[in-house]
Amino acid sequence: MKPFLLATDYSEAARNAGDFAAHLAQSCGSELIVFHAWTPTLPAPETSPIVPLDDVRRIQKEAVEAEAARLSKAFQVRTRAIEQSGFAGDEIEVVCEEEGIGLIILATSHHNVVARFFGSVATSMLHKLKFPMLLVPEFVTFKEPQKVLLATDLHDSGDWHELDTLKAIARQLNFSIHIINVVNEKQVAGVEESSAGVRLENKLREIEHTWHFPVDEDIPHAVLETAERIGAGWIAMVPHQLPWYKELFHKSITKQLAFVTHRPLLALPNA
Amino acid sequence: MEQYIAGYESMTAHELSRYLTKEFHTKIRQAFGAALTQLGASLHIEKVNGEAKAIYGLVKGLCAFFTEHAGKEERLLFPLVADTGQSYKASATTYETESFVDDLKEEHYALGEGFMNLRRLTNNYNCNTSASPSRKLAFGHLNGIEQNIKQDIFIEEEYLFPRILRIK
Repeated sequence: MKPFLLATDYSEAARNAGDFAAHLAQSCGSELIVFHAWTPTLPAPETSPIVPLDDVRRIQKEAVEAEAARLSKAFQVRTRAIEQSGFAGDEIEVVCEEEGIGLIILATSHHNVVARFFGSVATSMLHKLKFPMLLVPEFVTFKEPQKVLLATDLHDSGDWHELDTLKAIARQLNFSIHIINVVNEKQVAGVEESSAGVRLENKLREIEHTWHFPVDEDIPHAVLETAERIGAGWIAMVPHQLPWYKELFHKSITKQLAFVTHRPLLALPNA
Repeated sequence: MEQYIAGYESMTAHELSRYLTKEFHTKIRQAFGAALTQLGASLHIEKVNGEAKAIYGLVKGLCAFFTEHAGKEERLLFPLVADTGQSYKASATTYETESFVDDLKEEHYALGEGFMNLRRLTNNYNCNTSASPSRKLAFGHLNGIEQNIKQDIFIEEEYLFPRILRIK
């Protein structure tokens, strides 16, 4: 499989996500790139920098290399360390393109109220990213999933290429896919949705999969309840890329789930 | 029977799909729920044995299987013929639709196998005279479910599926 990228800020949650990522990379036979983005502190004009920029860069390099070495030693996985100055969201995307990354792994923290309100790096990336991303809630340790719940509203006009990563991991870890399409009682399925469903059936032909059509007005509730009932190890979703003004009125289901689920959440962009 | 067959022949694919959803799928789902409730009650009332538990497990499995199968038909296949005569916009290819219909036919076959097992386990839905009323009622429901499912499958395979593939 393509290399995985672990984005870390060395926090407790990120170290846990690192363990998770290394374990997953080892199970999938992938290389793990440990990445840290740092922002250089700009000194005030009248003061001189306390630590020269080169030293800061060296310190950052040593830190990310130490984390990569720790994970390599603990999980017997090939690792590489990369650090970059800049804003995390932007730099992650640049590195992913340069390195041909197959999956980004990031930590999420449910206790961070500020992030919950303004959005963390992980959740802010959900709707603009072009690469699959696995959000690992803090305290969740790696366990090979037996079942993955794929939540979809069947709004896909393409060939479901965004599921290629999910299929590749399913083949490696040998899990089954449970597709959930939450149905609103008054909602009538349209031709477009049905066609997307038929194409999805064909896309997952060689993977063991099953469907669930719960009737519920509250989509996150139905997804979480079904995940609990079937014992899903992960939840997978295709986030919609909404124009910014629509985000004011439509709450993103993926974001809502990212904040409340205690299961790893695999976001599969259809970019 | 002939008058029914003549009726199915004159129905459009859209009418057939609506008819199947209303008259068969919904009622079969409800009957499964009733049968499971009665079987569950009989497990408590009667001296529970392995066979009764096996019947309950099989019916639960058949109910889940049918619910998913009917959901796929109602949500993914039937809407394709909602506007009869129109070609599907941005739709699945003919091959994809045919493959999907083939899968549904295989599921029909699996349902048939499941009910054959159930017949064997329940002695063709015959209870001992000493069986609880709950069990008798449950077996009655199961017999009715099997007949309805057979008819549902017959209409789909003989009338609906060929029409869906023809429209495509």
